Amino acid sequence: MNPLFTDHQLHFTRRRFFGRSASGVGVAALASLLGRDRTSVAAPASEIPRPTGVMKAYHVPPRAKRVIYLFQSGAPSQQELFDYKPLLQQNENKDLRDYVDMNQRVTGMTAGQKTFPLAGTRYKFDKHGECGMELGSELLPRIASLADDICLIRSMHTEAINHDPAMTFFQTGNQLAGRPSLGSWLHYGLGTLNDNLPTFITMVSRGTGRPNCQPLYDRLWGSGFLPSSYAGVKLMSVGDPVLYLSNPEGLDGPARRRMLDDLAKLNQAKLDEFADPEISTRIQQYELAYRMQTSVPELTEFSDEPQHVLDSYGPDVLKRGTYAYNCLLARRLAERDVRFVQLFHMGWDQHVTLPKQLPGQCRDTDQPTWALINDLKQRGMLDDTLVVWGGEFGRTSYCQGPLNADTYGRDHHPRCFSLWMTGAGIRRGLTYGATDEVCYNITENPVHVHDLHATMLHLLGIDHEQLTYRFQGRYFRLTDVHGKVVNDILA
Amino acid sequence: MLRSLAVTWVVVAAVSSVTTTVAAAEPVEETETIDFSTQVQPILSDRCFHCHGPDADNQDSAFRADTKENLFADLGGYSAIVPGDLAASELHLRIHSSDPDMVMPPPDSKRALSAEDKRILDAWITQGAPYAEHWAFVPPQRPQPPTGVMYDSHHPIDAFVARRLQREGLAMSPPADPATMLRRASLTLTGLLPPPDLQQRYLASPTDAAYEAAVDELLRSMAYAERQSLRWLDASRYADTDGYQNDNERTNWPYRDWVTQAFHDNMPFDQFTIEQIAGDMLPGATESQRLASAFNRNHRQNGEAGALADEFFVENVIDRVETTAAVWLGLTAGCARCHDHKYDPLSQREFYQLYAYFNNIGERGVGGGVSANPTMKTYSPLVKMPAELAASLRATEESIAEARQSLDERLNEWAHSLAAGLTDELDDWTIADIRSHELDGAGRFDQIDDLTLLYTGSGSRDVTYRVGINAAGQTLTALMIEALPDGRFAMPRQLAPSSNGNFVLTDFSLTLNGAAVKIASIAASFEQDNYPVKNAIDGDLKSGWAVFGSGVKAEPVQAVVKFAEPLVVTKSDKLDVKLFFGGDFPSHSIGKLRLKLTQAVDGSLPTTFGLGDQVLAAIRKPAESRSDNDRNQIRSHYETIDASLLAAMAAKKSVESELVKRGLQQVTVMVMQEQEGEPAAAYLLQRGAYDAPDTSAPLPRGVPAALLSGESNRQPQDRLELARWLVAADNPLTARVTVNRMWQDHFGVGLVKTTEDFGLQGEVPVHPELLDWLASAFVRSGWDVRAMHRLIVTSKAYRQSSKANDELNTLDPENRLLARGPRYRADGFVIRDIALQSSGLLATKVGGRSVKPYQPDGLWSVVAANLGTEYTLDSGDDLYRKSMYTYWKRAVNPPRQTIFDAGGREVCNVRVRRTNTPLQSLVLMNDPTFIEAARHLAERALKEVHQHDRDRLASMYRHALARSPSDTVLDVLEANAAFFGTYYASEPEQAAGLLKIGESSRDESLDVTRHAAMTATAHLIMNLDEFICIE
Repeated sequence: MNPLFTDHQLHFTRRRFFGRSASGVGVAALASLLGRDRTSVAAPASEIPRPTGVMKAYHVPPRAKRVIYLFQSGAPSQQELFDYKPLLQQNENKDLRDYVDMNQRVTGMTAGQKTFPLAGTRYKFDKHGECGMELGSELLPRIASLADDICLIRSMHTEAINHDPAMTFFQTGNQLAGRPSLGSWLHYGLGTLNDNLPTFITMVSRGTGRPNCQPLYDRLWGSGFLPSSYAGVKLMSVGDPVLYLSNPEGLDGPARRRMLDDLAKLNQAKLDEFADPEISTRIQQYELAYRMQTSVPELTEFSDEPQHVLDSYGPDVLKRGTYAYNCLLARRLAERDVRFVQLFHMGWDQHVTLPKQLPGQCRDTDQPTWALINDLKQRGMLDDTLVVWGGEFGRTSYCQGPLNADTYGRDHHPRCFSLWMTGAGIRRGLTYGATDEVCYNITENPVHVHDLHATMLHLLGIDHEQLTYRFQGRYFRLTDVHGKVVNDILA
Repeated sequence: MLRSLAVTWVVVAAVSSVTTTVAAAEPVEETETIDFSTQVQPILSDRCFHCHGPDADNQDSAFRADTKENLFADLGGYSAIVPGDLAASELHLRIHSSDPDMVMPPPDSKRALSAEDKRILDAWITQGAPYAEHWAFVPPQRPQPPTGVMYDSHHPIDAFVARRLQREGLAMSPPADPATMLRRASLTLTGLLPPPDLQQRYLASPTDAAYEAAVDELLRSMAYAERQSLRWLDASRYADTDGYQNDNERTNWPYRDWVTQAFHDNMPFDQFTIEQIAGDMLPGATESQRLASAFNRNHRQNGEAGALADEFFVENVIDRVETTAAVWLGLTAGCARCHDHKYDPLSQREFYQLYAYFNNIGERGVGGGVSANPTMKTYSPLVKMPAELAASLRATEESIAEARQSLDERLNEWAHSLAAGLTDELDDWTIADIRSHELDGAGRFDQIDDLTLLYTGSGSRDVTYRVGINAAGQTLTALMIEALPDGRFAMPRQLAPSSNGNFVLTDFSLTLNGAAVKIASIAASFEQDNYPVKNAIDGDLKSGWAVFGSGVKAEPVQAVVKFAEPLVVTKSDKLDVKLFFGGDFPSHSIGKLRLKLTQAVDGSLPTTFGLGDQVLAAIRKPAESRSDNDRNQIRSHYETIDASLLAAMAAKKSVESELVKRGLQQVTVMVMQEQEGEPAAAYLLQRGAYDAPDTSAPLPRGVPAALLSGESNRQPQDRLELARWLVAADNPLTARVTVNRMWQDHFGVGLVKTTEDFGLQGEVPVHPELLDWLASAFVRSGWDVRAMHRLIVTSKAYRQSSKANDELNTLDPENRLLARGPRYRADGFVIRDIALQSSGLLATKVGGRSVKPYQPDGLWSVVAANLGTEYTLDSGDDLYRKSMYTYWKRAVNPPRQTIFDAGGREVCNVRVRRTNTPLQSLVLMNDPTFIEAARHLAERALKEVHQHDRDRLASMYRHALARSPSDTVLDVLEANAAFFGTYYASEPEQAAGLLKIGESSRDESLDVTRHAAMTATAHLIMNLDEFICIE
């Protein structure tokens, strides 16, 4: 702590800050600086600290301390990976409309198709683990080996049919931009667990299966109408991991320290004269920024990882911007108690030539995901870390584009798809929900995106109906006016 | 509502306990008069309306608390409110009940009333429950400013503020010192520091009159117009890209310049409103008025493949309704999209009646912004075209018109002779016999039975086709490369596996036994602008031949390569063709390729070459039996080959490219253009869903009934009348909402903090009478924007010192009562601009295409749809333009601005937010923008004549802060500079490194150590809290 800060000033600032009814400017960041012990190792689940955000106590007993969300952007095909449908192979080329009443809207890409021929998967499924979970093990052999550790939901459904609205919906609970993302809500509600790093961190990687794909955009992890301090901080895959992190040439080491010391002196004089509490916050934010300049590079320096750990994440682990690198970084962030880490892996949008694209996508994600889960498990962190793996919607059982021995493709299908979770509070080895034989409708236990959100918040100790923010005269929440906790999947 | 006996009993039981508690806890002060609007209504709205509000269809209870009639209604022998009779008022009983089934709000609503809330409600009932309409929906009266010795009667704002302060036992602070006062006014009016000469003149004699003169000077500056524009651009969600998936570029920036010009002209706000809402509908609308209507086309535009036009049509229209309602009416109309508004008198039906003003411009909901009709081509209103260029442009336009006038004559001659000489010379061409075919690169390349070669693959780049041809015994004069359409490729071209069916052939070569065959000429049946076929043989592997354009269809295209000499091919000869598809676009390789050969002596092109099937068919018909369509086909083809017309067009193009070079081009702007005839029908969309219109009841246009005042309760009939209604004298909201935003511009927070919400859930103004007085003054001034800003910044309230103390921080932490002047952090735009300004780097050019200054590497590529979408840094002055001109990409906002809380420009934003984060510190510490600016600030000071370095430091501080430093500050700066002097003397490489940062050059005559040390201190100054704050 900067010696310029007397106890009196700290007290003054704290009182001022918590007494303000304004937008809670910097409260979370400040709270993190004051009076809390730093923890270098993850605390066991029983020691989940009290929230320090707008919530001062948990609504329900928390099971998870933090979240790692592995977002598979573009929509992985459930028919190839998670939800085996032999009927599609047996009746390939027959029209989907012979089996179901096709009342789901279709995208502009296949709306003009005269036929909707069924396409069976070309990939092998098997039963795995003691639980006998059926998974597409040809493409995801290592994830399949985790069957007893995960809960597979085959009955996810959403409302949007195009990527942008669907991603926005998954991230914010609403199809149109403007609401806070899941991570921002968590930061706002629970505050931070960490003194030296942002509370909500995102990372993006490009798939090798389909390198030219639909883009991602910063607002997906934005804070919407919450103050921007709650926005996710994207770690960059080129240049500084955090924007503007490194010192410029010539202002390193002692030069930087001197600059900050003199800056604090001058700002302190200003504070004495003007008594504006924002000035004292600013002085501390400079110190936090200075600490981040050390803590972030230390975070991305993998040399302290044993070789066998590096090896487990696969050959790309040292390559910045890959999914493997991001997975290892996710574990390191989780260790440092970053509340919400979200990875986005792009390229899962197999409209046509699926057999050319999907294996690459699966290779990207299979081993690193498996390694991450095992790594967390070995460190005892799977007990208080919630992990989610999934995309923004599902894919159609009918073929888009040419259908022949070599190739086929699938359009968007929001009405049913698969997603899996593991970690804190999740019932492991469970397959939940089911779809009909052509994977068009859900036949049991539907789980809406709002329900997933409600369940995730529940595991973090939050009643999704109680975490609200008043904006434009309305109390907004992540789940809008919907959502119910899916108790069946909780351990 | 039914009441069972049992319930009655419970209530009665509750009454006795409640009355005692109330009496014991806190007796109502008889002297205090409860005000319904500011004290009671906010409680009812916030705690009750969710279930007992205007959205009657979606709540369990039939009881409503949202109007006087409902509150006082007989509910079957009892009423919620019985004026003056607490015990008989059901509301009183319910809010004090201890029975969880009876108490209101019920526990599961997660809403609760505080003891103070209950006290207010009770007191209000006891005092006779006087009711008033929501204050903001009643047109403002013109309150008289208080008079008397206690209040400053010279300035109405101060009279209101002083009276309120007096009630709290407070008073205004003394005036800020003159330099601080001028800096404050300059920053909030213009977003820049006061110009040095103005500082000098004003500080020489800082009287009130001099201050007012300085304010007038600032108000007349272009910087004032730019600052006001920036605020307006946030409200009008202006951006340089479409948003959504691929986030393509659009060119709506002439609209941005229109706004600046309007502020500079001090266009009255009513006119400003009418032109932006309905400029296209004004009688004899000028180009400028049509351009103004782009306000409602700044919405995002979805170009994602597969996006449904109907869905995004609805989203666009709804965006217009929400934006218009927020900016002019301060209403959160979007709440009524799916159901009646929970708090405000805006029904879902009324929402779609508003929608009906905005859905009639014939737009398609999807597609890229630059082609999202209606659009117009226009110049920026700020463009001052040099006379000679304007004259040449006119001349070329005239010669085009002349060429067109005489076109028919030449066309007829051409068509006649063509028809006469029409032979199917294609007979001379034979399809080449394929000996071998190979592919280098990703994808598949197969020969199929019709002698064509089929390429399939996705996302490929740098693909080469190698085709061997059997032509033994022939003497060839030319070869034809033909691309054929196929249904498996994307519309409209269907010639390649790319996203639009287009290809780019970047290199072609022909070899005989490995030796290049000499080519005499190459010609194509169709060429895309800037992609002529000659690019395929120019040796440049980046340039190429492509075939896209507006209105292209799935048709074959050909390129014919004539040989310099006839090519004799014997049995043992190997003839090989190589096609290379490089360049920036993936999958742009010919999908279905056919090669043809000819032995015709001159290797001449067929007369039908490049005609296309339809033109050819039309030509073949006798002239008299050609249909209109035939004639159009022939004409539009001929226009592409008529020599006179082409020459005239080329001349115009060269003038235009000169214009582009000078940043003066015409660009496409999305605008409003009301359709003629019957307006498009509007329906209530059930649950707000685009595909669930209630078609049983078409809705007439209309504004919410609650906002129509008695005198002119006629509904506006169209968008133009709506615009006029917005600025009608009796509109209750527009003037209040607008002056409130102006107040926010200067004080950092509005008189109503919820700038975007003046509804029942909005904040009740701290100074209601002042707000109403300002609103009526605004209307009476003839909506004079400049006059209102002048009024605000010349008040004592604005000019007082912003020093706080413990007492003020406790009593009024947010400074809403104004016992001190405003002090708050500037936005990211201002912070960068004043850094550039104090360094002397700021480029003052106004308007034009948006620019790309420094931003960290890799930001765009991560989010790009295609690999390799890069941010291309501008150069020269464009690096130092005001931040309002920084290219605004919706997918990745300029990080410097968003880190300092700028809105994303996805949707309308009128509320200012201010956070204080470590990421902001990192920007100021490390962004090269500030290092480079510091280097120039240091250079500036080093080149000045000063006796002592201390004076030099003081000068640097003055450039940056527009005031002189105190001795304490100067002491720290001096020690800092001394430290860095020693530091850089011992670390020369560090010094050199620091001075290298930024694109601009350094004055090499300056001593490196000294310059670096001064740069470090200048950079310290730019990190000061007082540098980034309006103080």
